[in-house]
Amino acid sequence: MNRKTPSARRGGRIAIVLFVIFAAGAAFFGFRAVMFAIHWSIPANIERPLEPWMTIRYVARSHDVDSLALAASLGVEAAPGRRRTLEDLAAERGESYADFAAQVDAELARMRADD
Amino acid sequence: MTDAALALLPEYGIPILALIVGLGCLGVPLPSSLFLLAAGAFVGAGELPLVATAVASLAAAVAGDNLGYALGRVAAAPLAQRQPELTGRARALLARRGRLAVYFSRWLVSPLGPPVNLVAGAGGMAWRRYIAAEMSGEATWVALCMALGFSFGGMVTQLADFLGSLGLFLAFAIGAGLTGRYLWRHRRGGSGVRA
Repeated sequence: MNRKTPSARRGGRIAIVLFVIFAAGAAFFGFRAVMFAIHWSIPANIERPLEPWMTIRYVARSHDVDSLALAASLGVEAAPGRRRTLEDLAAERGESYADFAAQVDAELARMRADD
Repeated sequence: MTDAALALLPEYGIPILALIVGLGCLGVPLPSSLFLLAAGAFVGAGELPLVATAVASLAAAVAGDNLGYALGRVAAAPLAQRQPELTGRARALLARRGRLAVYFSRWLVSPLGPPVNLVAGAGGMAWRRYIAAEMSGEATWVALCMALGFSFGGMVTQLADFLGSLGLFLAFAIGAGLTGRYLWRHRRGGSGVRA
C-alpha cells in the first residue's frame, strides 16, 4: 500500500535522479583519477614537456640541470627577477616557439647525456 | 587554454595568483589549484619569493571564502524568517559537523568549498568557529599545492588533472552517499519526514 503524498513521491523521484547523477559522476571521476595514478606510476610514462609559459630557470629545475649552463648554451639571459617565458625568448630571437622549444629540448638531452 | 592562462603567472606574478585564488574560492570556475601548483614550481625555480607567494595566496583564499560566508549570511536573513524549521535543522547540522565540513572542503573536496561557505553563512555558523576551520583548511590547501608544485615542477598540469579528478570524485561520492541515505530512509511508504 502506498501511503506517500504526491509531494513526497516527487521528492523521492528527484532523489533517485540525483543519486544516479552523483553515482555516475563519482564513477567517471574515480575512474579518471585511478587511470591518471596508474599511468604516472609507470616511470616510462613520466614526461615533462616544455610549455610556452615556462621560464628557462623553471625548465632547468624541472629537468634537474643547471639553469645558468642551460641559459648560456642557448645564448639567453636567465637573470632572476625577469620572468621571461620560452615564448617571450623565442619572440625576442625572432624564432617560432616550436623552433626554440626544439633547441631547448636538444640542449636538455645533450646536458643529460653529459652527466 | 591552460597554456594561455598559465602564461599570466610569469608575466604578472603574485597579483594574478592572488586574484585567481580569491575568485576561485568565491566559486568562479578558475584553475586555482593549477595556479598554486605552478606557483610552487616557480618558487622552486627561484622565479617567485616563497613567503610572499604563500602569504598572498592564503590571504586571497581567506578573503574569497569570507565574502562567500558573508553573502550566505545576508541572503539567508529573509529565508530564516520564512523557513524556521529548515534553518533550525541546518543550524543543528552545522553545530555538529560544520567545522569538519569547512576544513575538508577547503582542500580535499575543494569543489564543495564555495557552496559550503554560503551554507555556513546562511546556516548561522558562528564566525569564530568558521574562521578557525577555514584558515587551517586553506593553509593546508596552499601548502599542499605549493609543495607538490615545488617538488614536481615539470608535471603541474598533469598533477592538476589528477587532483581535479580526485576532488570531483569525492564531491560526487558525497552527493551519492547523501542521496543514497535519503532514499534508504524513505524506502517503502515512508511519510517523507526525516527518520
